[in-house]
Amino acid sequence: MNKYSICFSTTPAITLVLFLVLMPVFPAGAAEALLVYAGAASKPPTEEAVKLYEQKTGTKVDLVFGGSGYVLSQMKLARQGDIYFPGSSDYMEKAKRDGHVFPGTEKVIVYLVSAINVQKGNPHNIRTLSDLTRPGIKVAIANPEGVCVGAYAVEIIEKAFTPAEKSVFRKNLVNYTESCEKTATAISLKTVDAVIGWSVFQHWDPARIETIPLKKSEISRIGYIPVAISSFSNNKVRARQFIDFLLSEEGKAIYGKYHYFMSPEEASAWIGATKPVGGEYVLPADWRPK
Amino acid sequence: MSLRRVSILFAFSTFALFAVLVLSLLYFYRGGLFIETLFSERTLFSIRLSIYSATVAAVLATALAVPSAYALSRCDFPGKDAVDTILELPMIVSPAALGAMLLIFFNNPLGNWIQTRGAQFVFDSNGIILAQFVTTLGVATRLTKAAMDEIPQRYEDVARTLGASLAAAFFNVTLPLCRRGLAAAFILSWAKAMGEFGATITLAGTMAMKTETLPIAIFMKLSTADIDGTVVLILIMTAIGIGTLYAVRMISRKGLHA
Amino acid sequence: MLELRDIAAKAGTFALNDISLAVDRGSCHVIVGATGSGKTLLLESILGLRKLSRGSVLLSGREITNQPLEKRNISYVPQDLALFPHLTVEDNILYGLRMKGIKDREHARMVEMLMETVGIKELARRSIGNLSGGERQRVALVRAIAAGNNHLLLDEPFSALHQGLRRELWFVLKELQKSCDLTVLMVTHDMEEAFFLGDRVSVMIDGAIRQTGVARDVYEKPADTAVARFFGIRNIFPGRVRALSKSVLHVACDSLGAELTIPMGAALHQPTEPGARCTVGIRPENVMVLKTDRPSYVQENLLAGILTEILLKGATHTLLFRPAGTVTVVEIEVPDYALKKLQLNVGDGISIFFKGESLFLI
Repeated sequence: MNKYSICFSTTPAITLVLFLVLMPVFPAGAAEALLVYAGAASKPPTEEAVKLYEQKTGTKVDLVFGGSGYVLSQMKLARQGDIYFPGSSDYMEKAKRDGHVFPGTEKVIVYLVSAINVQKGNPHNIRTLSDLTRPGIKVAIANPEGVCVGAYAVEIIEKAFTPAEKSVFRKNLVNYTESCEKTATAISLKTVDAVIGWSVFQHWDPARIETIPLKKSEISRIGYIPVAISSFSNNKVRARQFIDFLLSEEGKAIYGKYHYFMSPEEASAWIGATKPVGGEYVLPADWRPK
Repeated sequence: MSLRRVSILFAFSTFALFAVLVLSLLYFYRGGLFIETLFSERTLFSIRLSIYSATVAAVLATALAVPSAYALSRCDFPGKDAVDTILELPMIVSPAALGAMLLIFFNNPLGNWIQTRGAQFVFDSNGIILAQFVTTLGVATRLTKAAMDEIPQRYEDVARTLGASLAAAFFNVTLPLCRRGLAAAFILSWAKAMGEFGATITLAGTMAMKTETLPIAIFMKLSTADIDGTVVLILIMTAIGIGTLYAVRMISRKGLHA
Repeated sequence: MLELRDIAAKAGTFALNDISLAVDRGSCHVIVGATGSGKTLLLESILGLRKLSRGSVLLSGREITNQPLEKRNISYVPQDLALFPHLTVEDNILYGLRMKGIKDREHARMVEMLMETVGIKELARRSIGNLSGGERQRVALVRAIAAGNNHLLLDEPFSALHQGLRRELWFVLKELQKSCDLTVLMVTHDMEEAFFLGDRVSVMIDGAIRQTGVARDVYEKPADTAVARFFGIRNIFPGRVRALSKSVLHVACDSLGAELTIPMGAALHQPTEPGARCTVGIRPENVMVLKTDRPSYVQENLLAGILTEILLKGATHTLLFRPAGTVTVVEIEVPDYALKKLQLNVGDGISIFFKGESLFLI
């Protein structure tokens, strides 16, 4: 028995043992699982909701998190998935346009309001939008081309500033973050002094982020987080059930816990004026470099 | 099947693997968009930025790598093992972690001081060079050390008996003899820097016309679900990258006979 | 003058133990030893490439034990020559002068003359890769000398060359040594080379020097069994001193079945009293063969026996002889013409005798 024959005879034995040990890792009934593409902006509540759903119904739910546009690309190219749950409305519009979701199945889960976010304690004493044009202030917004909260920020800037103020503001604009969460962490990590993000950012990291509300005239629209059934789904009934769960009292309670606005009225009340929900905003040419 | 045939088969299958991936891009290819994207100001900026920062980062990495590699190759000193092992750090923790570490560094008092008195790195094109430099330094040092290990120390010993100081022996004997290996180390560092993504995007951000390198631009296109745009940029990057590496290879070959 | 005092060093499995020797100015000292005896380690220790655990090195009376390599002014030609592959022959040779910043005409002319003496002047512009073995050797030697150092260490300089080339280079080295007043310390495992080139020879076995002396003495009178065996002398016979007088020793060798008469000067240190044990040896080429009756001049050290084997070798041949009544084998080396003249065959009964002065005592 030379060393090679020992090798060959023990390898199958080891493989068998490994297989038996690892087998529980591979879930049974994988065909039944739902595949959900979700924007990372709502990760904490969504993960909790999924856990509760799995407990209640025994249906496994696989979550793919990432930037809303990024996971849309993945869903497009993978040609499979049951639910698309982006962090904001503009990507849902794109998905609907490209036929990757059933438009009729779209529902709104929670509502979002733009606000200024600063470091906890507001060390630079930023109270208004014009404070962002002060010299030396470092500001960031999400990449308006890709991320909804960034596009909303641009709309706010375009509306509120004169061209002169706008150019000063843009000098202070040091970065486009590539996703919703990165916009929030830009404050957490103190890489900038302020961002124009969602009011709910404060609740994502209460120890480090503080929300400064905008004036009601500065806000043009209320954002929302939509969900819809993917056109690639083979499991439409179960997908529908999951969405219904999110909209149920139990589901809503989870999101409410994380301080999202549960209805347009709630959002409007916080702003101090009634505002339209969603819609599309076209970026002006000087904001989309070519 | 002889060993020779089999191993050539493996070599070609490696080529085929990558070739297939590149060719499958053509599934989403649209000619008009290609030209439009290639010559847009934004893409040209990304190309220039990528090439410039990769070159600077590779030069800096090599400059630091050469003396370090000399110490690792020729000298025995306490802590040598620790130094040698930590060169793998960028690879093991992943560039994304490295970028986070850099970001966190600039958050602390020392980093803050550097940014206020020295230069900006966070969300700045200097940050691109820094991120690329940090990710390629380990590889550059490793390769340079390997190149130096190839040169027997005996040459330096004999040079010294002829009256050359240790430094003189290094500069006019060892260094010229390992210049081919050094060149290879530089080129590989450059290629790695060109493709650097995780650390760059975390530290320098994604502003178009400011810190958007080619890999970041590709990621941004994918993030906006623009598959066609992604494909175009990947093809551009592949062409530039492979083209440059191949050209350098051809030039250095000619240098052999010149 | 190069002097070593009680050098000890260690590197991996090689070790040096208390090496002491002195090389006079302008002379060539050769160290013979087998591969693995520590010869290279010794040279490296002298240069300063290896740390000494003990001892000191002196150059012209000055202690250089703790000096850096480049200040010691000792040139070194390693076994693989280490010619710089990226420089031409000329650049290799001028390297030493350039490093010292010496650029004057006189030195340039000296180098030219050296190259001409050695026969490599036309090779000046050649690249190292295009040289033959003998050419490389010459370039290495000239490079070492051109640097201006008068002391030279050579590590088995000609071992990679065939016999003819070797001999040629022996003459080249001797010439260079004389004309440049070089002090040379050389190591080799080839005894012929040692005896040709060496004014003094040391035998090194297992990291220690067993014998040093003028080449002739070391050759004819090995100091101990190990050295004798190193030289390939197998005619080593234990014996007992039976009697001694002022001029001769009578030694009884049972293994030979005879009593040998040896002049007093034969041993480096003489056994003093009768009954003392000793060992007698003789080089195979000093064993004389008689075919038939002995001539009248042979009085002593005569042995009769049988020729058991004839091994033909070319210029000389080896005969194996068994003295009558013993199982001992005596090796005899005879030149070709002698064998032809004697017309011997295996199994012949012959006699051999040892000339007294050829015997040595260990």
